[in-house]
Amino acid sequence: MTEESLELRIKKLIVDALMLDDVTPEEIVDEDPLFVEGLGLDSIDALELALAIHKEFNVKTAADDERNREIFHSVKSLADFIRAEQANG
Amino acid sequence: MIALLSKHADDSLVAFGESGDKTAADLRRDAADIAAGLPDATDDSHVVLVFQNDRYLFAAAMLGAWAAGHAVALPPNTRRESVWKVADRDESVAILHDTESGNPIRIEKLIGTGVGDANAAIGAPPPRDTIATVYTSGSTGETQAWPKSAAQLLGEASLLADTFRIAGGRTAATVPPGHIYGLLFSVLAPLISGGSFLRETPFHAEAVASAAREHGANILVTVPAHLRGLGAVDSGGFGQLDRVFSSTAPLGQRVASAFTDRQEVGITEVFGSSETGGIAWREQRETNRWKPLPSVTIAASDDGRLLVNSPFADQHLPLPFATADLAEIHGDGTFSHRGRMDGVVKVGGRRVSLPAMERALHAVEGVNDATLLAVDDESGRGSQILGVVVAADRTANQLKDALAAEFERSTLPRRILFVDELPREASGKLQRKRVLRLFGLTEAGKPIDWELKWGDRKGTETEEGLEVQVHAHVPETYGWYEGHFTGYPIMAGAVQLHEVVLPQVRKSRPELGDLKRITRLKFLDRIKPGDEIRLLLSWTPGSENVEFRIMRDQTTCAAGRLTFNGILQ
Repeated sequence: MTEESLELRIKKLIVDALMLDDVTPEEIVDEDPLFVEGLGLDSIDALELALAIHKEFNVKTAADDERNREIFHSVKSLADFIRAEQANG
Repeated sequence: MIALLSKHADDSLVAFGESGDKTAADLRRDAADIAAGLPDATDDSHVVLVFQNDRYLFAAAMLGAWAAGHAVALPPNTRRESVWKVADRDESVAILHDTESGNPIRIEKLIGTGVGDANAAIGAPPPRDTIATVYTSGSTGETQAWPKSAAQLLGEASLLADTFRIAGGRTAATVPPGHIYGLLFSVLAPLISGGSFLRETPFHAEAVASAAREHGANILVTVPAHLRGLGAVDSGGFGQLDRVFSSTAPLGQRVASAFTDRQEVGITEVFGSSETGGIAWREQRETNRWKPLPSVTIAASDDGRLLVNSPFADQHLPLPFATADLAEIHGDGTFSHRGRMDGVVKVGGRRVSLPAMERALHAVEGVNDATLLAVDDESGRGSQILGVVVAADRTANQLKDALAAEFERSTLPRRILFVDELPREASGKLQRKRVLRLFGLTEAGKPIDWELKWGDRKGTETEEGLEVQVHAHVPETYGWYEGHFTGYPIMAGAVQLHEVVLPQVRKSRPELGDLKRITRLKFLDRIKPGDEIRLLLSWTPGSENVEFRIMRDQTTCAAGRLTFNGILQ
């Protein structure tokens, strides 16, 4: 898997899982905050997304929410997290 | 008079978690310190509580405010605008909070000062009509005040603790303490019944599970939207839960069983309203019917509304209170919920009036026509809103921004489609079925299936020639039924030919030319949604004819002969 495609997969997952009809995956900027600003997603979206990430990449959210806030901050932070988790097997 | 902490010994635990254990004595002392730091109470004085991080500090602040003779005010959420709307009211004399935003009174400054009266009666509600005012965000975004008396608030908490036998339990909650549901189940019920609660409010599924497990919580207080994610936690991940509560929105069957199958604990759903307080409860594993809480009586009005008589209902309401919920009352005293009658739907636990949002949408410049509708959302949001709009030069985001001035962002339409014209009848009445279809949904809000589910395919040689038999399942939500007689779905003959027969003929005999004519055509029996059918095709090798027959078990639904234009080389 190349670095680019993981980010794009995450973006597609975000658009699909959250049914964002008016956003295309390409429009999402890697570093932009996903919640509150940025895409303006809410807390239930956060849980939806966590569930979708769990299903798609078989990685689980962290056991503490401070860390989860960092993980779900942006597409980039999500990609870093998934890569790290997958590397740990 | 019911009082908090009356079942706790001094060294009994009231709170636990990452931030450390706290006993009843700690809580009494901290509350007394807080009480000493507050301004003097007046007739209607309220202390506004805004707590994001620590449920224990929330409880200390509430008991402190009560001990100083104040009522507490609970804003609908901890967002700046919501808090200021409540704080700006004349009766608000102080804000206590544990947020990062500096002034006015950050709670830690009051605690540990030792100035509190060691003999202060901590836990008793102040002797006044209203001991707390709970604010909700109404259907159009305005906040609504619900004053609660001690008898209402503590009476309900005490009844809940008794009914669900949670006395002395250890409660973890994913909902904030300032919301009425969180207040009753995760603060008041534990403090009334000798129990304790988790100080933190974990959010992500793994964080909730690990907190419950690490700290030995046996009661989980949550909502459908959170339960969906919690369903992905491994079996046993929560440690040992005895009860799980869900409220504020209907819990979908799939979300419920995903959780209960893994965790082997039932989910107790509680149904209530701002007007009446708690009304009824059920465990989906047992029944879909709602059982009224003790001391609550229910009936149905002539027009099918649920009528509620409850000691916990708002004091200013005439009783029995006619809710906007439709209910069917059963002989055993339970009831089934039959929807709401006023166009109000619940999105993510918040009430939204569709007519009000539609009016707001029409008021946006450039919008010529618009409609909104709500469909069930398996994600646990309750409903989700879909919009169809006629507006040149407007984007979905512009419309959402305009609506956000009046409505909570989380309740805005999830999907907005732009069309040239809304599907209205000549009378101007909107055709809901066709609107749903624009989103690929059936009338029941389920995704439309345009494809049959094909199964086994088997070819055999017979005396007359060749025969192919194909199995197929007709989906319940098969799209080609749409537009026919309501309640009596008929699969049109043309659909049977073009969707069932011809694709299989082409597959079996790609060499045949265009369809020339159909003879001996018979439609003998109705093919219903959900049917398992079998298509039989037979022909003599080299012939331009194909005989077809659609069967359900031993019944022939349709049969005929297709003749094709020659054989392509």
